[in-house]
Amino acid sequence: MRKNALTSLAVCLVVFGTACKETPQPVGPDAELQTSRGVDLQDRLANWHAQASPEVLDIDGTVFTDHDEANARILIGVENRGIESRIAAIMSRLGVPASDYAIQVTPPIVQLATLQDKFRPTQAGTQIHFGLYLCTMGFNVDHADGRSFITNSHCTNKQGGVEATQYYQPLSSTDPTVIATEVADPTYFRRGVCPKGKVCRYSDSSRELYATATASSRGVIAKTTGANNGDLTVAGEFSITSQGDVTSGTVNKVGRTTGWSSGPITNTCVNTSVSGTNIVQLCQTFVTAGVDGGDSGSPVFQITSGDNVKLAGILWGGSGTTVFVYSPISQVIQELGAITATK
Amino acid sequence: MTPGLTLQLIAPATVRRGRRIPFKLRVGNASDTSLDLYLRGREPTFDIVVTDAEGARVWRRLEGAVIPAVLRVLPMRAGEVLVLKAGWDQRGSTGEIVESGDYLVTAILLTDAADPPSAGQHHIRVQ
Repeated sequence: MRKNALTSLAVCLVVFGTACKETPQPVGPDAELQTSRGVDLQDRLANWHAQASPEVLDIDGTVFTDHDEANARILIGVENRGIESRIAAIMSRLGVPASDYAIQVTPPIVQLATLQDKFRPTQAGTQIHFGLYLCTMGFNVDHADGRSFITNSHCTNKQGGVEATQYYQPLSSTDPTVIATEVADPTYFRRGVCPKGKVCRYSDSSRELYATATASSRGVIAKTTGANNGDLTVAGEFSITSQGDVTSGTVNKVGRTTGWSSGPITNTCVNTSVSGTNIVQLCQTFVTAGVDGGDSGSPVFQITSGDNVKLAGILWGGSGTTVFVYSPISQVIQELGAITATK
Repeated sequence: MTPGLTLQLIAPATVRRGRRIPFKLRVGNASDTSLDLYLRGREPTFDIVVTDAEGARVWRRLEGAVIPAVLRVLPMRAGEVLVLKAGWDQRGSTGEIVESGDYLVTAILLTDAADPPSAGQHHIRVQ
């Protein structure tokens, strides 16, 4: 707005000369700026700011520089007073009087990432994309075949069987690099313990082999600002320090849609029919905690101390949005082979 | 609800007691631009809730159902319509066929939204 006002005034002076002074109702948002003194000062501040800003921002610890028109000064935000003298030297060299600028301590401005953003190295709990679907990266592992991540069998192009599904993170439209390719997804079996007319497995899991160029963090799960608050902002990380089945108490999950959820295990070893299919997942665990579409593949874990956790399994479904179902880690290993998910 | 998205539940106004009731949910893009729907499940899934004249729930299609928590991104062109079908055998939560009377039916499209879109209530008379 100020620039427009000044531009108008400049045009006015060129075109109409002194007639401008006789305009009864000057056009512009800020009459003060149209006094010669105000214009002079603001112009000088603008020039000084343009000259000083690149140099000042080059000093580590500078947060921002601003031509603060409302208070007729240059305002500089710094993380700490330790760099004040270096800034003062620059301002002095440029001829900026000490009365025309101020330095204030301000917290650093950090870019906040959410579970739906890009992560390199990749982290468990963040969004992955394949075909027309979105899921959650379960957890990074070391496997005899190579560095991989685990997600659901139904988070592949075809549930059960390997068809080399290609994965993107977070979306192919934002990063078209294929980060990994499906290499293991056992087929569903009939008969035996499987009910008549159904097909069964003990886990809804698959393994994806990383592309060489894609960095991944094993033993790390993205941590949001709090449990059961729906926030997707990443504010830290959990460390997987152990892996094994959990049969009671409170467990947690982190998923791209509902974030960090926490709640009690209510049922264990439940043979679970998958709605709309002939699939039965055998011996699954039920938890009363939030879930929604896109959370498939979420790592399920128990907090052992601080941010250290025990990896307990992989989420694949839910009843409504308040109960989630997961496959215990021992059954994932039983079907995919030995994997190490710890740091 | 997503701007331009329309939901319409199609069902008979009157049915004979004990007869299966067919439901259709028409999901449309009424806008003049394409939109992306984020739908829960490998295939588009919708819930149906039936309440009696007193507002008590007598049946819910997805009661206790475990649905994969995958999210399907479904692009819809301007004017495109998706029709989803389901039915109800008139058995309530107890397994008994419901009594004759008036019922209200609501259809809910499962998406990734905390408050998923639903069609306006449909009145059915069972006689």
